[in-house]
Amino acid sequence: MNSNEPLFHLMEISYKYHRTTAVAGITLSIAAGEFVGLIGPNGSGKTTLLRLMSGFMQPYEGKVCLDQIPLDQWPLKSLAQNIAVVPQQVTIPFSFTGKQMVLLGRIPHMGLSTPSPKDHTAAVQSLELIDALDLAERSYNTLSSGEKQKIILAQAMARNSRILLLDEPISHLDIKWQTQTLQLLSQINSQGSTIITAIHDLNLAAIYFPRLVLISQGQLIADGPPSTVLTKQLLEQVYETAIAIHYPFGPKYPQISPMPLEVPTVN
Amino acid sequence: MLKIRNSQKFTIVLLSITLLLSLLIGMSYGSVSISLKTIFTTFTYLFLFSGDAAENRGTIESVILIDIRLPRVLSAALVGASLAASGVLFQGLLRNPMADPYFLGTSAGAALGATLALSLTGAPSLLGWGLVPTLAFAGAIVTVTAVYLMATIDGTTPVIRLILMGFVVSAVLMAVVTLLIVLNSKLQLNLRHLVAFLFGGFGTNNWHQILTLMPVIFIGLAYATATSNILNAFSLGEEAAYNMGIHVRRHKALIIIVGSILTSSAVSLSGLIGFIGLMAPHAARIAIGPDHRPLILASSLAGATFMVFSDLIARIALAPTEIPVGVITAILGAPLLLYLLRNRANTYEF
Repeated sequence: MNSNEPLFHLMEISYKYHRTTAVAGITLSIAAGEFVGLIGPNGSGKTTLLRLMSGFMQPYEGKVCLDQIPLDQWPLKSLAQNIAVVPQQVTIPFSFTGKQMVLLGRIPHMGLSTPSPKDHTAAVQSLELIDALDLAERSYNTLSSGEKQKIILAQAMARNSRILLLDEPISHLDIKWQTQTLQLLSQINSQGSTIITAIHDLNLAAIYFPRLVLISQGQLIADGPPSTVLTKQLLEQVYETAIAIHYPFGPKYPQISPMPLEVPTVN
Repeated sequence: MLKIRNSQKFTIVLLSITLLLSLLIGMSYGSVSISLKTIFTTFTYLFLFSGDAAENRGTIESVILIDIRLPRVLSAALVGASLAASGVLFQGLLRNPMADPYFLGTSAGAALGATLALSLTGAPSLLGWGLVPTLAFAGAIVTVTAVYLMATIDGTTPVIRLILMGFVVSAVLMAVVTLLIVLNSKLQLNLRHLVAFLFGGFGTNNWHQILTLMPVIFIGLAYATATSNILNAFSLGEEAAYNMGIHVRRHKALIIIVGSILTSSAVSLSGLIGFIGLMAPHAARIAIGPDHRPLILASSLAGATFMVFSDLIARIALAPTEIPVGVITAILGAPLLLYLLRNRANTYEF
């Protein structure tokens, strides 16, 4: 493999749900080892873009290549060994324990057989990584949204895949765990994994992601470091709301506050 | 864990012993009591020599045992195991705790098949295999196939569409059954046989039928166990299953095929027996957890045991009148499931 070639290459891809266009001609290259934040308003196409990158959905125009091979030519099992996906939420009809849930993440390595000691080790390790060993024997359906999110993250990490696609992995977490999780992701990234995360929190995105991709109405609006993507003009245009930008952590990390629609009166 | 734990092994051993006991008790009790000693000696002959040799020993008990009791308890166990396993398959695949083996129209298809058979021949059993079980089996398979094809649009078969389509098709077929009963006078004369089929029972099974279906059922059970990781993945939803490298469409179709073959085999042996395919999976899940590998086994064993005992009660409770076994499974099963759900539900969130 030529190391100059991108890991992921999205070429002019479009996707429609019935008649609604969700992704409209996006071209994007992501190199191995990148840590990319995918931002944009609700319904802008972030989740669809991640699904197109996991191969769960096929674009009706254009193609997605991983290692220069179109996704639909990958054997499903090796694709699953390469890419782990963390969906927004997972509901299950019958309640597995936390550890059982994490072990399920090893299915691409297990095939039809029972988990090996290696699978168990990987499951326990990823529970340790997110400090969730105490959830191992708890029933998944009794956990809080934040605890569930941790288990789902551990499930993906147990895969030990080289690519992680995450769909708003911190939306239900408290501020401590939001930063801890992003810290953890950036640590996994520094060990060589490529990570692409849809994220709503622009302020945390600015701090943790070296590269941000801003999409709106299925189109790519901006792509680059936070300082060039998170500008007042672009964000006000895309989010259709007035914002203020300030730089408490330095010029590389813009922080965004929405302007209140009505300024509260202070006595 | 997805590995079978020691406590789970213990439960499965316990269930196996209970099944064995239920088979012995089921063979022993009835209009003629057969002692355990007779059962033992007859089996020794049966295995050491051949069925004929055992029968030629000539005691009435051993003839009753081999020609009546043994096929009866065996088919009860097979039917119980098949319905319980296919209940797990459908609940797991459809991600629905209310699903049972009849969810996709098998029962209505089998009912129509049996109705047609009875209106064609007038005789409940022909050719050793009988037209009723044959058409019931065919009706169930054809119906599920039709439900699956009708639920498939643009190459996708969403679970919710399958469930609704199964419901619609069942309703239509049951209406046709009613219509046939009203219109066909020959069928009205055969109503007793039709009722026996619709409520289920083990009165008319013969060795030929059992020996044909036994390998089919065992292959189905083996497949169900082997596919447990895939069922586990499906419980996270189809997208998650895809992301685990599972060919969603292929495996969904396979699970439906195997579940339907298990159900159809059961229905052709016993007619329609309700509740067990819903109850056994839940009871087993409460005992052993939601991991499908031990669950399929535990559910099959529990279903088999429960069915053998239900049939025994159906035979002896109001003897010489035989109660349709479906009545027993519902009367006994409902309180048992209620008890488990109310008292053990703290370890069992849906």
